[in-house]
Amino acid sequence: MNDQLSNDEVLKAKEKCQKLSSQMNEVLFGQEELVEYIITALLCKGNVLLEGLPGLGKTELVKGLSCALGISFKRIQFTPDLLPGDITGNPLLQEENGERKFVFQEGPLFANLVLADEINRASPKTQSALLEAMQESQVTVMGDTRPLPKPFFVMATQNPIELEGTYPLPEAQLDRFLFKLEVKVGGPSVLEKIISNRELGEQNQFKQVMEAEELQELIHLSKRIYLPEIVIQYIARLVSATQPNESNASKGIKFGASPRAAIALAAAVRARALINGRMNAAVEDVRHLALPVLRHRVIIDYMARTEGNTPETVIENIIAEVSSQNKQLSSTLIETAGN
Amino acid sequence: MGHSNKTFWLKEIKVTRMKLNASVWLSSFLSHFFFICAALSVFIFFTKRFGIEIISDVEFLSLCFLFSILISIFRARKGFFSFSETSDWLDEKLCLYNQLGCANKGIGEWPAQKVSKQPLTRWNWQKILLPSLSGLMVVMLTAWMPVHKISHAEDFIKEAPLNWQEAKEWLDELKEEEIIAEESLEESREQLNQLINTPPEEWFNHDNLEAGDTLHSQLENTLKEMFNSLENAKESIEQLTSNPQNLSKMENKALAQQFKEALKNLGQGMLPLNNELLQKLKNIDPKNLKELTPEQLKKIMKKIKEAKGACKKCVGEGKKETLVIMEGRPKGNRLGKGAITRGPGAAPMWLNENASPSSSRHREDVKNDNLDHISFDKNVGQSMGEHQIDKSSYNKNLNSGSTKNKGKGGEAVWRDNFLPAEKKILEKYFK
Repeated sequence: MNDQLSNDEVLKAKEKCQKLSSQMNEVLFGQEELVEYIITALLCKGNVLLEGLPGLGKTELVKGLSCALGISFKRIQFTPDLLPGDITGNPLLQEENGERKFVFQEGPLFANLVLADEINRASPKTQSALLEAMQESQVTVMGDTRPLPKPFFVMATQNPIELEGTYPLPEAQLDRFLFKLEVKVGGPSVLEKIISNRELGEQNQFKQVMEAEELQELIHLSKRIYLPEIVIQYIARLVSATQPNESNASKGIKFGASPRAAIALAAAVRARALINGRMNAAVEDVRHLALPVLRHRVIIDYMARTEGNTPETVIENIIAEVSSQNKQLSSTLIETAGN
Repeated sequence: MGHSNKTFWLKEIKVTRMKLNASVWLSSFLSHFFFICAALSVFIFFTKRFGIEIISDVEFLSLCFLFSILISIFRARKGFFSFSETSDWLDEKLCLYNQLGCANKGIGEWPAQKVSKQPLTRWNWQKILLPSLSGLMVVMLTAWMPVHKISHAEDFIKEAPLNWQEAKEWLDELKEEEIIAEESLEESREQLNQLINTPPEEWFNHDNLEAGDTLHSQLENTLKEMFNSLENAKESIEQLTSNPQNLSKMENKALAQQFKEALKNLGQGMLPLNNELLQKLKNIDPKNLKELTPEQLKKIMKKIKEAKGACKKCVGEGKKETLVIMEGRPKGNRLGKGAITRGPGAAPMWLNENASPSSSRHREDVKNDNLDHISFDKNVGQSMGEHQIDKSSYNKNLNSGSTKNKGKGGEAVWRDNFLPAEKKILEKYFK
């Protein structure tokens, strides 16, 4: 209870988040929800997997984010011939004062924000090199472990089409991503805005609205958000319901979400509460974030797929099925719409 | 402002909690209310059928209602909403982002007052009324429905079998007269009491009736024998004392022997004579009756007479079973005396309450309103009149071929009795 956030702290945090969000939305049109998810992921130090067709602004979003936050940014274009050393860095033989020695040349992973573009095009070997960096914020080259700069985020993108010659990410690696977000095409009104405000080949100009230290502070504040018992119970019930045959909606699930998913959901829920200027997380946050947190952690079986189910539909059904309340109303009382 | 918000929400949570818990209890109550009503109906039916009245209907219904309320509270207790659960429920319904729950735990401030445009819940009247009304209807129907009450034989049994009562009267009479030995009298009374002390519904069992009848007939026979023995003893004394000079030696001896036999019989059996009286009789020597003073003899004869009177009072000169006809309708549901195999037996018959004088020639009916137990084979009365029979119509048996009427001469009886062919034969013969 002593670690409870004060109202001022929460309001300030909200203000900062709103600034960041506004800055992003000024440049990226029609991606308000995506921006909110990305900021949520930042506040809980989560990595994000962005999936969408080319040209929807995925790369622009990540680049803009680095500018707005004033943190270092590196982009890696994943290709089949990319080697682990290409991303982590390599020791190079250098001659200095007549002596030859290996000097470690840092790879593109040594940045605060790394954009792993088209991650599924790299070989599994390279993908797994990214795994250690994502999970432990460090890389090991020739037996030497080197910490990555803080904060460290990986924003990976993958293209849902042109899957020939790609290497789908293994479940273990998918589990390291906090969110899997779908970047969708905006409507005509969004396109109108884009056409009227953007020129071909022109780079977007993002203003820096936050320092890296401020981001770190927000991350710490997010951890201090109060998680009510009912929210904990709801997360637990929801994640348990993704296990095969644990609920009516989970019938087509082959593998359910792991405890890491529950931890990730709890962290995301806290971050969202801070963004919205609340001292406590709520069941509404859980409902809002369950889909991006769980969709890449649930594997459905072949039968479910042939029936037209997707992980998204299954999770939506689970959210609809699992109640946030511990007790249900009796049949003698009917809930009305309220409000 | 914060304080008023807190007061508002605390009140709101309390009211909502009451409603939610009432619905949980109601759901539990209604789930078994119909079955309780059904069980209650069965109970009411049987109480009406067998006429059991434990407590009044209103008290019983109230107790049942109270009992079902307690049971339903016990069953529903796990489903009741706690304060925090209610606040969580309100949080979700009013989209308050769990602020109520957190504020209740001291985290954050109470949210601003928010009143829903319409009630958050409404009662499901169909679920409430259907089981409750149908249950009540079943109970009311059973309570209203006329049920024929079963009558038990025990309801009618108010008196022990007549033989037992008679035997008891005899024993009381004998005790009062003090002519029988006390211990044997008590022994017989104990046997009778064993029968009387059995539950009334078993009085008319075959075994008990037979045992009672045996005891009755034993007592009756014993008293008759005693009466005879006393009579013999009395006769012997009277004859020996009245005119002893006219008696032959043989007659004297026979009378003395008769006296001895009588004494012997009086001292043994089921009901031996009182020791004192028996001893007095034994002290009499039939051969030396002259030694007794007239007063002594008179006393002895008086005692014998009293004993005889007691015996006669009990069994008389052989009582016969008679049909009981009462004056006026009997009170209660008493049935008549029954035989061993016929249960309580025939119901009593009675005469009109305003009976006509016996001297009148008015014929009066004997009534009996229990036709199930009426006795049709009883001889109610006997007429002393004679049948009016034409005695002249019959003289003696007729043999075949003989004439029925001999005639008085000059009567052409035969002409009426023979066939034409027979007449011709007879005419031919008599010519």
